[in-house]
Amino acid sequence: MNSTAVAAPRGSSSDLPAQSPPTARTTLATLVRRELWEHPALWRAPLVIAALLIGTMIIGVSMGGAHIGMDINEWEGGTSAERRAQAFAVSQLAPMFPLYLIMMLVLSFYLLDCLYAERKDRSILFWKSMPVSDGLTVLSKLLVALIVVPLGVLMLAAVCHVLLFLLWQIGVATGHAPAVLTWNTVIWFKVELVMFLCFLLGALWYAPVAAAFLLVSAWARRSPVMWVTLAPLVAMIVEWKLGTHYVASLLNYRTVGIWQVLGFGGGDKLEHHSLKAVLGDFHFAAAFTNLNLWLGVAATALLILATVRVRRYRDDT
Amino acid sequence: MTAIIEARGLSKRFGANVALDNVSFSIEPGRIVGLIGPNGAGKTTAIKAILGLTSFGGDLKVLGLDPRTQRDELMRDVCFMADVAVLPRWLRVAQALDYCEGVHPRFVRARAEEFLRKTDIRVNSRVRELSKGMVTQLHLALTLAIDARLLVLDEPTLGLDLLYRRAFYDTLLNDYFDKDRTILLTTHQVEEVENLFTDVIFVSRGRIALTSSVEELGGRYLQLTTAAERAAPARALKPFYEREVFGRVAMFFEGRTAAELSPLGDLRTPSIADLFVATMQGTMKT
Repeated sequence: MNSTAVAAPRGSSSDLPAQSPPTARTTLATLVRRELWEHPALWRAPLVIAALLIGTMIIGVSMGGAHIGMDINEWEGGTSAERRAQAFAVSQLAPMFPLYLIMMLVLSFYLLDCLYAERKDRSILFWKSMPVSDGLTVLSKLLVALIVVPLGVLMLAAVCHVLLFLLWQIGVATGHAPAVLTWNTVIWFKVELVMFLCFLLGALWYAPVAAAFLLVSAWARRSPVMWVTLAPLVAMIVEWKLGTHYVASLLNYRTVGIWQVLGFGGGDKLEHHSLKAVLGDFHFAAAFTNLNLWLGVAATALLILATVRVRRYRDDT
Repeated sequence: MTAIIEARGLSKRFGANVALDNVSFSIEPGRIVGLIGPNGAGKTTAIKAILGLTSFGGDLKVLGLDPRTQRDELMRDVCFMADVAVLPRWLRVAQALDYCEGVHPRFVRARAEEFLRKTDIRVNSRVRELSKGMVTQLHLALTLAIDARLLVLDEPTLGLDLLYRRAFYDTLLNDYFDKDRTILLTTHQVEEVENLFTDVIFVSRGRIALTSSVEELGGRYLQLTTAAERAAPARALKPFYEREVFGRVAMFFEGRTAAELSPLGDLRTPSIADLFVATMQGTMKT
């Protein structure tokens, strides 16, 4: 009963402009923004790679894109409609690989650092002075790593592809590039859909890895990076002496397993297969119903619960 | 349930080290309480318990909530400032404002901006570019803009020069404190802030050595100063602590009346700093 009287706004604040209190959504949005402030590499690194790709293309088309055109020129029937569609799909997929590679790298360091740095510089005492639960804090970090950044990179890749395509057309117009690419809206939507589904699949498949990194980040007294590199390494060496390789195969499975289920062939297959090899042969139904995918999601929930508890009760400031 | 903080049998140990030994106290609303003790006395542990930042034994209610299980709810009404190092160095001033506004239902951005305008802090600066004093000003601006019921300050002016320290406490008293708010403050620099306190709690080795309101101190404690050669009759009244300076003896009494003591020398109410030293030295001996 005294709480209502005490909590009433003071007279002195009534002359200040009123503001609406943050909802759960604005709180989460603020937490996500905070991650991007602290770890600008999350968005800078993909932007730099995109800029490099575009820069390379500019140099390529202005100096005669022999290297870029070579693969496509060697394809048999390089001018048939199907080949053109295939080339377009490949050109659309291509910027994804360097972007995703750099993204995986910065995300790994981000996940290992985000709950460790705040303890190291004691800023956790500031974050914990705010009415934000440990659960929401940890979730915001997982959200950044599995959804926000990958979705951002997906969109960046799409923009990047359009720019590269336009540059290629300029190359064609000025005679520096072969006219093997034609815009194909149907293919474009198909490839974007495939990439979006791959993003969803990747988020689910890598969730336990991300959660394990977060747990190490919240738990390690020093150098979380050392923990995630040395611990599996030592385990593999011990296993190598014992003649087993459970850890190695588990790591390998968690890295590429779902993409094998999906039916990702090697890049070399593209040359010999029809357009279906690029788009049609993915087994999304099998991948999304894979038992290990969902066991991994369950493991993620447990790891996140553990992380939240460690952040809540660990006291090393 | 009027107390802001109600602690019963608070205990915490780190291995063989007892940080809090069955501590009980209560803090009423509208008070400025000094939690005073030497290093390692258990002040910070007590504060961490109150803020739900550490585990502990015993019974503790803060604003009627258990900090162990209801921390998230509690932090809506509690503000906390540790020493100056805790604002992350990469944070920009504008980001700090955005952040607080985005997550804290009681944060009034305009009030923080108003306070910052009186300082040299620019909104696009990063914390790492600010001086120690300015970081504290920034943190204070964020803290004072939160309409909280309980403000907990743990050595907030540690490492600051006198001008910043003075300005800090002036701001706290003039712009923030009122009858609906409670402030719990730990500090080493007792002399500087003793006029601020309405209540003091002295802690020593995990126990409470003394707890009193400042108005009651005058009735309970007296300091008698007399020439060394005239000290014997006063000593017979059993001071709990005495100290000799330049041939004069200062003696500290508990529970004696002014009528008993005033014929024996100069009598006054001890300062909190002197009383603190006297209490600590007194308890150390026993």
